[in-house]
Amino acid sequence: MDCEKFDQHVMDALYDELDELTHAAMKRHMDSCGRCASAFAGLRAARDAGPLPLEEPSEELEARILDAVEVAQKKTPFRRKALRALAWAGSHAMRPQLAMAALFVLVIGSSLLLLRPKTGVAPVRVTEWGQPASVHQEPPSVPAPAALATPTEEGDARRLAEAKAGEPPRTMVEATKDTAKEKSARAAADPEDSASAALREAQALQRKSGCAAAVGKLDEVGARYPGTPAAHAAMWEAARCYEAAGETEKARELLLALRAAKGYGDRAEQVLAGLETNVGRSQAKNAIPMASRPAAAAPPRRAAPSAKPAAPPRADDAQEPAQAAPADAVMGR
Amino acid sequence: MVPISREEVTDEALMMRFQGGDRAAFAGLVRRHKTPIYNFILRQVRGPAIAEDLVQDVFVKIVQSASDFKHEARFTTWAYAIARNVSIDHLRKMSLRRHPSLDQGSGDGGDGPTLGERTADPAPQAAVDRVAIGAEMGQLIVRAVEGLPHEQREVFLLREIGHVPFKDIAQIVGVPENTVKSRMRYALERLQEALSEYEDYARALR
Repeated sequence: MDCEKFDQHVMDALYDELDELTHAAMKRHMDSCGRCASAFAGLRAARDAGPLPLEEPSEELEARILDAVEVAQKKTPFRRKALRALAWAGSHAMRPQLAMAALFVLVIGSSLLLLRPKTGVAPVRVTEWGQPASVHQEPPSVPAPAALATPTEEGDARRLAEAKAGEPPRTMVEATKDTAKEKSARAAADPEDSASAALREAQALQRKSGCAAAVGKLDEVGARYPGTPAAHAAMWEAARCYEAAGETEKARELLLALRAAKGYGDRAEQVLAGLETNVGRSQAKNAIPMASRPAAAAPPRRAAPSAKPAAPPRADDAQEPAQAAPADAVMGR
Repeated sequence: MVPISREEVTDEALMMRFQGGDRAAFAGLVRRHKTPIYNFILRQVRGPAIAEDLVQDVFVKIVQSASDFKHEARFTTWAYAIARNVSIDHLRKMSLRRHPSLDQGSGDGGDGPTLGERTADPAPQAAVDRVAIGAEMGQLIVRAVEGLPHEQREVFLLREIGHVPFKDIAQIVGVPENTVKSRMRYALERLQEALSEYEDYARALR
């Protein structure tokens, strides 16, 4: 240690704020350096000469202070009180037992959270990948053999159901594998299945409550499962319903859309042509009895006219199984 | 001054208890620190009455900002920082009102001897009695301290009365630690000079 270093540490040494090692080095330096030794001795003498004598304040100072503090505390603003409470709570929160308990709860809780979702994740993921696949040339990727089997069954089931008209039959329920859970799972896995299921529902409604009640449902099926055969069948039915109800615009829209669909092109064209002439006539006559319209504009197969808009599909199905053929044929694919 | 055993409960523990609403803990802190804080202020302002008022202000401020006190902080460092602010505020107000402080020169231009220099009588003529030498020496030290420039005096008082470590003094005063140490050294050297003069005088008396 040199004199410069000594000067840096001399106050620390005087007030015992020095580590032992440096203190020893200073002592060694003072043994060899007279200037530093006498400087230290002088400072030490000044320090030891007598600590600054303390004067006592008046007796009542303490009471005065406590009174003043009490007054100040009553005026303590809410913010400060809140902060004080927070500081107190903080001082408790820092206690090790509480910290350990918090840590324990955190560890257990987080591990539970991490474990739980694993059970439900896998099927959902399959659903998401399966959905956007193309409908027309969709590969039978969904593994369930039941799902593969259903389309073929469905044709029969549908015919049976239609024959029994109205009761949402057991066969149908069996065909769709019964439970709602399975249904929804399959609906997600195979849009075609759910489309035909929805179509059947809509058709059942049509038979039960008539065209007017079912048309919304049919429309919905057409919109929700675009491109599926069931959707085409639904659109076809809906178009017929609209036509029967006199809402030619809506019917035209659907038919125009159907023109591009496989198996419906010609029929749609014919009905469209019929509509055009109908519109012309209605403009001329203003009103035409519904029954006469299909006669003029009917497509060859769907000639059966009816006074009740609800009746035709059922009558058609019963008398002309061929009418259902296109839809079934497509679905059976 | 009644000695208080610091081993019982630390200031910091008392402060934490007070933060939790324990008023008795605060009374303990007042009892412990009122005299040193009073002396710290007394050596910087004029008159015991003012010093007592300021001590009261210091403790009120301690209560008001108790929530700011962190449990890892040193109570004395924190309390003396408040005391220093209170005395500086007071001195500033006094200087605005043109009251003479210990550092202010007495002449019209402020170039005469300061009050501190005048009170630090280098040759105490009165009460020259061997019996009174101890008391005289105390008075001499007080006068020498009061004669110090303000920067040196506050460092000296913080270290000697408040027992605040140099590192914390640097924090309170807002200067580097080495500056604090050199101020302390100058203060001690001034004290040393005053003492040697007094020793010469006392020796002459024997």
